[in-house]
Formats: sequence, C-alpha cells, structure tokens
Amino acid sequence: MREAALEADYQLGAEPVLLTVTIGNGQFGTSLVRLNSAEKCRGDIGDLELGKPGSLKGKKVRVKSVVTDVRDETNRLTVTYKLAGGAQDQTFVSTGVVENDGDSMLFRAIFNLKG
Amino acid sequence: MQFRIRARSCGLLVVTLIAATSIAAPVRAVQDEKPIDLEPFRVPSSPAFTLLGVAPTNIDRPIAPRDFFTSIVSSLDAGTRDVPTDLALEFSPYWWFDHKELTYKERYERDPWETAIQTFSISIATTEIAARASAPNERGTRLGLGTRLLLMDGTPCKQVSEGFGAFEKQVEGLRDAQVDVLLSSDLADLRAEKEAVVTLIASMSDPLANLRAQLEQVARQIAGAATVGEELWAQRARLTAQLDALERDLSSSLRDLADKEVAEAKIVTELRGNGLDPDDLAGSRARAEAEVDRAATALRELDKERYGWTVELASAGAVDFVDGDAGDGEFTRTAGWLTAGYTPSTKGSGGGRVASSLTFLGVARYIWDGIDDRNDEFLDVGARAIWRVREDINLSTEYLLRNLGGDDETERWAAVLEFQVSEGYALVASFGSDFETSFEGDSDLIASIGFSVGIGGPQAPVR
Repeated sequence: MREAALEADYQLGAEPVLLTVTIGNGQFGTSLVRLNSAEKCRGDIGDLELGKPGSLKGKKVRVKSVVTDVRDETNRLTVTYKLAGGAQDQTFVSTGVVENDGDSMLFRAIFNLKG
Repeated sequence: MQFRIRARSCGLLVVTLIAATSIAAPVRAVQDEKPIDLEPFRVPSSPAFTLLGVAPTNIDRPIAPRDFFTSIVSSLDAGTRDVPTDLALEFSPYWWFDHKELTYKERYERDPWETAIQTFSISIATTEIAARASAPNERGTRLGLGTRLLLMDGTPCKQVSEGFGAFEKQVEGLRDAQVDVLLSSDLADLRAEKEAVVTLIASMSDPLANLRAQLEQVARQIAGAATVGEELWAQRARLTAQLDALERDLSSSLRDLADKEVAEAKIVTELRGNGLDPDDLAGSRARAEAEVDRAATALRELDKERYGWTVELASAGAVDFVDGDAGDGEFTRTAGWLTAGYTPSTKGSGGGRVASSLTFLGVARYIWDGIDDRNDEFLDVGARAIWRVREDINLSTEYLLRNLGGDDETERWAAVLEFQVSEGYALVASFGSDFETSFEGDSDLIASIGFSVGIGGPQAPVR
C-alpha cells in the first residue's frame, strides 16, 4: 500500500480547535484521529472538537486515513484537512495516485499544536 | 470472437465466422470501407473508435492535460503537417483535476448536470485509409472524434437483508477493513514510539543520578561549612533547576509511555477481537489490506446494480485527410446515439428497494456515411425489453425501425435468449424478422444460435 505523509504546525488561538477531514474525488476513505496517543475519533471526521487551546498546547494531532479507489473514472486520491478555531483557519491537502482500480493508499498527517 | 450459425427460411445453413469487435485489431490496419456495424441497443463506450471501425489494443488514457499533450506530440512526425495514423486516445476531462470536496456520498446525490460533466468523455482515433477505386493512388488518414456522457445513471440498490442493506453492509465491510489497516499501522507506530520513549527514559537515568549526587555533595558542603559562599548557593540553585527540568521530562515521558501502553492495549484487544494477530503485525496488516481489496471489489460490483432511469448520449464525427495532410480534410462520417433505460425497483427480501428483473430500453441513433460519396443516411429508433430470468439467463425482445420516415423505411424485430455459460462466454439464440434489405431476394427471417465470446465483458474505464 502506497503512503503519503504531511506534517505542519498549527497556531492555537482562543477558540476550541475543530478538525475536518474530507476524502475527495468521490473515493471512499476512513480516518483515525489521535491526540498524542489517545484516539479521538474514527470514520468520517467532520468538525471534530479536539479540545480547548489550553489543553492542546504542545500536543500532536495525528490523522491517518486509508483511502480506497472505488471509482472507475479516476485513480486519483485526495485528503483535505481543515483546522479551525486557531489563530486562523487553515487547509492542508495531501494527494496521491494508485496504480490499479481498487487499490488503497495510507495518508498520514501530523499537526503540531503551538501555543 | 463470435461464431454464428444462421438458419434461413430456405433451409440453407450458413456458417459464418465473424471477427469480433471484442478482439482488438491494430489501429494501423487499413480501413475496410464497409458501412458502420453497430450494436443497436448500446451507446458505444468509445464513439470515435466505433465510427472508424477500429479496436485499438493500446489506448492512451491521459490523466492530466500534460499527459494529453505528451500523447499528441509524441504521435506527430517531427517537421511535417501529417496527421498521425496510430492515435488512440480516450479521456475524461473532469477527472484531469482533483475534486477535493467531492465526497463518496455525493456520488449518489448528483443531479443530471453533475452526472453529465463527471461522465463526459472524449475519444480520438486515427486510422490509415485504403486506396479507393476513384483515386487509387490516394493514401490518407481518417480522424475520428467522439464524445459520450450520461445524464442519469440510476440508483444503487439498497437491498435490506437480515437488518442490513447489502450496499451499506459492503460499505461498512470496507470501512471495518480500512480500520483494521489503520489499527495495524497505528500499533506498529506506537510500538516504535514506545521503544523510543523507553530508550529516552533509560538515557535519563545516568544524568539524573549524577545530578542527584552532585546536589547531595553541594548540600553536604553547605551543611558542613561555617559560612556558605554565593558561589555554592548558585551552584545548588543551578543543579536544582537542572534536576527539576530533567524530572519533569522524565515524568512527561513516563506519562507518554503510559498513554502509549493504554493505546497499545486497546488496539491489541480490538485487533484480537477482529480476528487479527497483534504479535504478527506484518501478517495482520497484509490480511487487513487483502480484506480492503476484497470489500472494495464487492462494493464496486454492487454499485453497478442500479434501478431507475439511465440516459446516455454519444456523438462522433470523422474527417479524412488525403495524404495525411492536416490542411486538406473532408468530413466523411457522423453519428449520434441516445439511449434511455428504465429498471423498475422492487421490494428486497428485507424491505429495501432493489432492481427488478425487468429493464426497458429505448434507442435513437442517427448515422450519416459520406465515404466514397455514398451519402448513406439513416435514423433508427427502437425499444427493447429485457427480462433477467436468472443470474445467467436473459430473455429479451426488441423492435427497431430503420430509416424512419424515409421511402426505404424498414423494421426489425427479434426475441433473444442469452445463456451465460461462464464469464465472458454466452450462448445466444435469436428468432425474428430482420430489415428487408439484409438479405436480398431472400426471406428476412432470423433464426440463429450463436456462441459469443467477450460479449458483456467489462468496458474499458476512462482513465
């Protein structure tokens, strides 16, 4: 299984941090979110509240997504991560292409939450 | 390949071996100037190839504009205006770009406009033209350009059985398998991170012992001294700060280790519950990935079982270039197809809607063939009803009206029984009446038994 990795910093603000993970191109994917080591959520991730800024400082949000190519029309896969509630809303995109119909890819993302 | 035995009313048995369209001929093959032979009730998946009568073995399917231009440029002869003779391209422009907000769920909620732009595909092909009687020295290239799109593509079946829809069940199955891959991956990562934390904690042991020893020594010096100098107090403060920092790091690492152990224990329990061996992570991951592949294949297959309306449009045109010169083109063929299908839904065993065993198809197609000044033009309209008697048996009846409204209007009707012997192999028996012009001076009765190879196989996806 092919893999793609992304790591970025996210500046905390005054509001709780929300995470949305969108699997694009009509493909099928499942995500698992961990805050440091603890699992926060799995499945479809939409506006997931990670916590208040005070409790998040210095922590890492780890998102892993397995995306499977279920469409005949394309072998392209995309995962979009939206972080909101911090100093500013930010979007990060990870993309990949699988070789054959039905192949899957593992997307890893780490967001370092900075106070 | 198709082997057909046709029994005619006069009792004459004619056995013909027909080179099938499913066995690909090279694009470079010299064009046979026969009228276009088409399956009446199917929009061609690649209209340009159909209009040119070619079945290329190597089709370029560019997935980005850059790939498209590379395909075009690489097929051109440098420094000439000649149209390439071995072009075979098929692509769907919508999928040249990523659609980050297009989710899996939206695949089933799209309107006709979204369906049209997502399924719009273009096919381009060229083939060498044979010499003609009117101009025996002429050699050239025929260029075909075709488009195809769906306006409606039906509704996926949501068969409810044992409390779960088959479709949803496959979706959940795929999700569960993906979760197992994620958990296997997480467990491997956690164990690696845990090892790093254990190493880090171990590395703190000596510095901690050293700092504590130094601090004890300073404390003894302070206790034994009559007067304590500034330097000693400063040294004690510095050592205390270093020890505090190191102890904080140790405490944090120990918490981190404990968190990882808790997470690890949860994953181990879950993986065991899912029938995977957490002590054989490589094997577990491989099994989970294989299950993802299996579930994805099942989901893709189930997705093809649709009910409701399907509407498909296609068009194509051909231009001949004498001597291959791009500046000297003549429009020689054009065609258009429209098919509309309806499969009623019925109640599944568990109450959900599923496709019934009946499908109704309507077709209209227009073809103009101006090759060699033939100027043949016809408009066909027709209808077909298909009854899926069993998974492997189809019974259908069809009616086709040719040259609608013209002086030479003629009709065809047939009843067809198809028996799927195995994947890609079918026995086909037909009975009916063919177009009047099919067999001059003879009856138009159709009574045939055929063996089809490659019919109904998967169509090449637009990639």
